[in-house]
Amino acid sequence: MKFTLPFLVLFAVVAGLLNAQPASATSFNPGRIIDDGVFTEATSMGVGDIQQFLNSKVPVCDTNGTQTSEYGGGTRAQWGQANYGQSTFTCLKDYSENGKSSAQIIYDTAQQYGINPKVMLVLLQKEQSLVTDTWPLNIQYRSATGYGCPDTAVCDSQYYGLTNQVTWAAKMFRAIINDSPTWYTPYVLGDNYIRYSPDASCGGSTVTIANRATQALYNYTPYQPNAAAIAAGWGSAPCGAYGNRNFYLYYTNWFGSTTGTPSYGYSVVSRDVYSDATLQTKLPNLLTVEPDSSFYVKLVIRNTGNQVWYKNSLNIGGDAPQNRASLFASDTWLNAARPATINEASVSEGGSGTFTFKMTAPKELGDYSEQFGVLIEGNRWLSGTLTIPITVASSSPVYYVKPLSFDAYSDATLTTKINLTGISKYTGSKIYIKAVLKNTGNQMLPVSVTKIAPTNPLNRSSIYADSSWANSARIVGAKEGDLAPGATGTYIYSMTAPSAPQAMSQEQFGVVLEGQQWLTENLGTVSIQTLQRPPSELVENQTLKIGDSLLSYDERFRLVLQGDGNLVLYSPYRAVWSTQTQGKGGARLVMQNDGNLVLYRADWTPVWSSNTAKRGGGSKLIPQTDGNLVTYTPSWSPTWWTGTNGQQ
Amino acid sequence: MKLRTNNKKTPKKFLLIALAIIAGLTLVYGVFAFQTKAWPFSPASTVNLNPTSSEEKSTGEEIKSDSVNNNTPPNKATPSNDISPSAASASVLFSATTQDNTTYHIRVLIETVLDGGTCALSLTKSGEQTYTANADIQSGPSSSTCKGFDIPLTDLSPGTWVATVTITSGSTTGTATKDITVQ
Repeated sequence: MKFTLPFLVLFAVVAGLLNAQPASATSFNPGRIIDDGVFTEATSMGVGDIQQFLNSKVPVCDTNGTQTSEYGGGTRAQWGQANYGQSTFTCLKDYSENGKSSAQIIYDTAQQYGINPKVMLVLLQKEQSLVTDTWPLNIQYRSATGYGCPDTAVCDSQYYGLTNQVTWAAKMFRAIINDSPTWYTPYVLGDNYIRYSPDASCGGSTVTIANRATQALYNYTPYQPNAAAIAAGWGSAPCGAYGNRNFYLYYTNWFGSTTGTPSYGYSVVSRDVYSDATLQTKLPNLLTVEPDSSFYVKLVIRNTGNQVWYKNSLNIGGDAPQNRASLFASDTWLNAARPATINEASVSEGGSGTFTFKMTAPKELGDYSEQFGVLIEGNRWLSGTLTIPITVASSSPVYYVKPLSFDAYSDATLTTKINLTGISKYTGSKIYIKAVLKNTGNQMLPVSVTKIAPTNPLNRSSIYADSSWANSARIVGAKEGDLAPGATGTYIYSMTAPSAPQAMSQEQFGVVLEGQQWLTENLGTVSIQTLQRPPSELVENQTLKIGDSLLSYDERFRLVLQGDGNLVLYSPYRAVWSTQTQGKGGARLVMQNDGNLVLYRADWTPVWSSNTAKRGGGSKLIPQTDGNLVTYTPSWSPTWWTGTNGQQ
Repeated sequence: MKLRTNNKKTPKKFLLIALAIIAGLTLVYGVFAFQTKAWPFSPASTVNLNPTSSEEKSTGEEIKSDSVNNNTPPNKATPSNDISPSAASASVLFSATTQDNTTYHIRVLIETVLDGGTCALSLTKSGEQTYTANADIQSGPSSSTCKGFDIPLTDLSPGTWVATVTITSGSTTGTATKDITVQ
């Protein structure tokens, strides 16, 4: 226990040493000289802190100018008297104006405009060296922050005086931080061309200004240091402009990093819903609204991070999942997933930002939980979710359905799902549709009058209608029967390709409440075309040419005479048999009247045969649904087969 | 019942109790300080209270020297009988030319502090109508700028335009020209 205190002291010394950071201009970032959060940290120093800091930088002031003048002409008092009529000098730590100490002036101005007093101290140094000067001239106080002092001309008298200078500087900084519409700056957030020096021949480069604080500093010193000025550290270099570099160096040397660790966060101050756009009539928290009706949300949140929020950057967005498009989006929204940006031009740490936006209820009745998040667009989502529970209900009859699914299948048992687009079917073949929807209105939907039907246009007759349909313009009702509010209905029907080939078309379907209204005109769409069905048999004297095929009745097995001369039988998954005549010139397959099945070249020389000649005329070749390829006599006696039955 | 006392042991016991209290208080403060970031667990001060370094001092002297050189000492000022303003030219350059979804933004740096005046912008594209706009001049700390040119894209067709800005403030004038690309 007796080692506790020494240990604590040792710990403090080590911690202090670890925090010492040497300043280097090489880490100067021209697009982000200082963070907004650091720049606007108005409470970083009190009056006493400022005074203590000023005292530390000038322990002894040469008030009477007894030291030798750096500009020649004897002592500083003699040089000052000769040139500026002053032989005594007041250091900044001792300076006062209208009864206020310099520390108090700096502090008060920083508080008034919400600017870090450290920024103001560095500004006084980088413009007039007032923090470290042991014998400042009156002209240095007159233009203390360089406001109204062009780099190439004398200073403007309308801005003279320490208080005046500090105030103008802070006022301008705040205007730029707030993106004031009445305060224009030569540079903007984003890409700018910034010279290295007032001398145009020194050139410049494009700088992407990342934040308002950096924009504000460039409004003060509209030049950037070139590489040589950066490399020179505290020194000078050809074509160097040092204002922003020196700001960075002094700030880093005296107060640490200009960038700090950014933090982001918010807390909800208030969340209210109104019935009117002027936000006068508040609605209860348990919100119940009519379908298609609009209401207005005002949300106030506090910035609990250390980064400044900006209009058109800090937005509210659909959440759960992020970027969710809301069913309550209205015409005031930025898009369906972005209700609004903050109303304020900027919101500093601890400040409050306001979102106001209109929400329009969907037609669909039900209980909703609209979840939103706050995000810095293109950067990050802030932690937290805002939830607005909304019940959409109506005392009037509401007929509405919500499509839940719409799928196509190749089989009647609805086990093999197929893509809804680009479906190709042979004449007479079927696909099967299963659609599921929910009655989201408040009225019963009787099965006798609630039917799936072709749409686009409404009441269209479909060429894909078949016996499962009521007629070509009406299909089926729900298999569950009548649908009560909230109930789910399942609709199953088939589509049969017509007897003639058809080009690709969009078969759109909706739901009609017969004689009253269409509940939805777009339940789902099938993109389908009809192809000519290949023959299912090759009879006596018929020929299968290159590219032709035979198709089993169930469309599962296909016999193809390929371009390479090979005759191949395919299952739905693979080739199950072939004549293995690829490259041998086979050009036509003939079911001869002698019962022989022969593959000929173009010059009628045979390549392959079934060796069933003289087995009788009238034979036919059939790819069977069991996968066997068989030649039959007219009396259905098999004369040749591949033996591939049962293969898949 | 007879009370047992031992007066000889009282000072040592008192000392032990006092030490225990001190140790306890130290421990309690240690925990408190650690949790509240009080001394000695407080972050090292971010304010450097060391005397001015030689680098800070020499750079400060350079800054002061520049300031002195930019302000003619009143005792050295030369009286002038010429009271008529003479024409002067100001350096002007395009500092930002950017485009967003709806607007083309043009910003200008005037490298001197001007008291009032106007900026005239013209955009020309061969074979097309010239776009013109005027704006007041706003002075800044050490320079001036035109009070923004935010041009609706509906007024500009895509392509290369020649932008010219001419500033006038009293007898001071300046001009700059730049090709800009509207997308």
